[in-house]
Amino acid sequence: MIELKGVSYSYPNGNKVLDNIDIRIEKGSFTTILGDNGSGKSTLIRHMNGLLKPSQGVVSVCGMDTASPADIWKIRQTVGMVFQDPHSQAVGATVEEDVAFGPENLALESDEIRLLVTNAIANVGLECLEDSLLMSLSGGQLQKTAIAGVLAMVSEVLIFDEVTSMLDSDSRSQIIDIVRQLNKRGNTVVYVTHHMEEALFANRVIVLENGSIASDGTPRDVFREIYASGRKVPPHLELAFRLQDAGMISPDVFPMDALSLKEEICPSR
Amino acid sequence: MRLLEHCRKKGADQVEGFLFSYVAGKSVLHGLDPRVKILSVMCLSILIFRSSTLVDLLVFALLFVGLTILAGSGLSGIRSVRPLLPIFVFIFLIHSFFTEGAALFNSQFSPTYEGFLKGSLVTVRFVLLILYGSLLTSTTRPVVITAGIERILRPLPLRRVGVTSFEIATMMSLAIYFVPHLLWYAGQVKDSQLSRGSKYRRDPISGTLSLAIPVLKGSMRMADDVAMAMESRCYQGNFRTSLFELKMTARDVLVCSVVLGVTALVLYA
Amino acid sequence: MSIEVNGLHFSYGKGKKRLTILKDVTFSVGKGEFVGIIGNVGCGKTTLIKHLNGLLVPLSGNVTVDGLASSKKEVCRKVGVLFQQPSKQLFCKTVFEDIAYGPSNFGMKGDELEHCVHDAIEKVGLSSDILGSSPFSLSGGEMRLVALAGVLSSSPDYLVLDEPTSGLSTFYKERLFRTLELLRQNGVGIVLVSHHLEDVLGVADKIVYLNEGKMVFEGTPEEYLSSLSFPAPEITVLMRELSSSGLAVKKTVFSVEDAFNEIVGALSEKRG
Repeated sequence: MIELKGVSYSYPNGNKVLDNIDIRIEKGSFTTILGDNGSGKSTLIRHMNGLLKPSQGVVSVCGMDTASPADIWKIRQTVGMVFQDPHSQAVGATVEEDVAFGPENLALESDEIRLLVTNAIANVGLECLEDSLLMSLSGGQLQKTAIAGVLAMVSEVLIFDEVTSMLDSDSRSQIIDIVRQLNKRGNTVVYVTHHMEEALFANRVIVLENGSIASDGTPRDVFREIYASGRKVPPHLELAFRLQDAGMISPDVFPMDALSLKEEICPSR
Repeated sequence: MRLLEHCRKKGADQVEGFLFSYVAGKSVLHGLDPRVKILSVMCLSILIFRSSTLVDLLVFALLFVGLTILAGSGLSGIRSVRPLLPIFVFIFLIHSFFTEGAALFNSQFSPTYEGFLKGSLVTVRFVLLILYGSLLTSTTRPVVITAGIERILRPLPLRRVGVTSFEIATMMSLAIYFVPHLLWYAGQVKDSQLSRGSKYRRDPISGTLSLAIPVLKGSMRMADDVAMAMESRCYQGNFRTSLFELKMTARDVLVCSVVLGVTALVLYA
Repeated sequence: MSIEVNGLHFSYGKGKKRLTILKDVTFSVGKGEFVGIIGNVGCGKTTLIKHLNGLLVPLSGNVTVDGLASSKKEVCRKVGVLFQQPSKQLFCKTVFEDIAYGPSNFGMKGDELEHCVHDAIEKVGLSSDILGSSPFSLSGGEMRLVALAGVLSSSPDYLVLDEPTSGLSTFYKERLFRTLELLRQNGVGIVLVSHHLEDVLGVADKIVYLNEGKMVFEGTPEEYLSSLSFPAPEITVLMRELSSSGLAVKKTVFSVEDAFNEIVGALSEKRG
């Protein structure tokens, strides 16, 4: 689906943000990119739909090179992106209008746009707010609108750039549910975050540190590795790993949350 | 947070009440093509400004009442005049006092009879303009007005000055979200400055200046973010379609020719 | 010497549209005390914060800082506030100017100012190399620490932080808490408002729990955790579950370390 080969990127002032990155994103996968503030996560994914062009190396989406101007719009339609700040990606006055923005740019007929918009809005559960002015919505609702906006473009790959970092915990879990649903329905998902809890649902985790890949593997392997290097992992995982190391619970389990850990420690009959 | 949401909602309500008093309905006026309505409001404005007696204006007032009943959108239009009331009073007083003529009262500084007449004429003209404008906005969704303006502008040679009609229309819809959001942002910066000892309360002028610059810069950063979001949703600016496709019906053509005919008759007969 | 909040009420709007945001909130923050305020979105946390340094004036009840009414202008120097979104409270051309904004408003100049800024950036654990760059070229974590330095440079007696850990990765989070601990040792009263329970419970001396603008609880973290009706951290939920299915563990534990010891103890006893 998406392939990055030897990608490096430097700012015009010479600061190197990405250093020789190789990543292949498979169709239908759910990849989480984990990294600290300033590790180059956002810069990395902006290469995936041609918003940024690599200083060195090649990025290709379904065989199309992001550096070729002829394919750029096709690439951006294939790879939809939702950004961090819910307030600075609103491009219309009402929900409906904002969601229609993408398909309108693709110059589709109005009946077709209507169908796409209605579907996309239903997929994120905003049916009752279709006509609302965006400025009357909460951060979580705006973020759902933004997701509907990329869905309406029928993008195959969806990239989420720290979409929950400015939201409260309730909207956060709603958004994560939506993202997981979309992946189940066949969308390829690249999910960028610094919340380790949000990386548990992925089938692959890539850890980015100072512009290069520090680890890459299943959540289980990667979290083990992080834990082994003495850094923090989500509390219930840390507890699980410690109990495993002490031989108290089976070394094979990877509990998704506190309750599944409880089942391991003390199974209910 | 709730207060904040409340303020945003309140801002939204104000903008909604003032500019976008759209009331859903199925009247003839609702059904007309926005281009016809925009054109009619323009023609009516010309006629109102050409009329020189209060009796002429009475005709327009009666026409307005008739159209309002036809639209069935109630008194939402009247409300849009309210915020402008102080300005109307000001205009009226200026004319009453500063026009030469026979004094109404026997004092050194008195309104004149001629001034009174002229003041009423000018004020009524403005009120009527606003009312007809609000008749347009109360029977047409903002999105559709934008689409109408875009279609009216499309044949004009705007490309020579470096813009397209699509860009103008997009800017208009962006502004509906962006402007209130900017006010909210300004509030946040102001709070932060006040808590760090800004002299805003003691010296409002320099305080406002020291607020304006960061807000301006902030708005540019936000604009950058929005631009990126738009680009990633395939916005090119030179051609796009609309969710609301406009189609002229026989009725539209009829209304259009009647309005144009009457205007031409009044102006040149 | 303390911040005293007494029977604070606040509502917005009139008539039918009236929206009550705070109802009868009463608590105090002493020097060197660490108060954690817990509450969900919409519980009125942000409104409460604005009352603590006089941005809002109480409609009824009162807020005093070291005996002064919160509307007095000295109060905004005594109480520093770190708002939720750092990108909306940094507004100067360079990091230096931003950190210097507070003290220079309070009349500090020249070498003293320079010294003060360097001092503040050191306190939050950032290098003084970034002083010349634009605050908006920094990463989210650095931005927040710079915003904190901008508050600390006026050397406030009390520090109020609104969701300071949201959007912050572990690395910067640890830095932030190191700074807060240092401040507390120097006698600064700290109010930390957050819905991340683990962050608050580990460090606070006192917990205030707000629900829909009403103060439902005030007490120690231990007391907070023993009540079953309040939101609890993941580990505590786990411990409660374990306890109710018959394992002899303490239910008020929330740190991984304590939970581990409890579970190992209970399991080895059970397995004999």
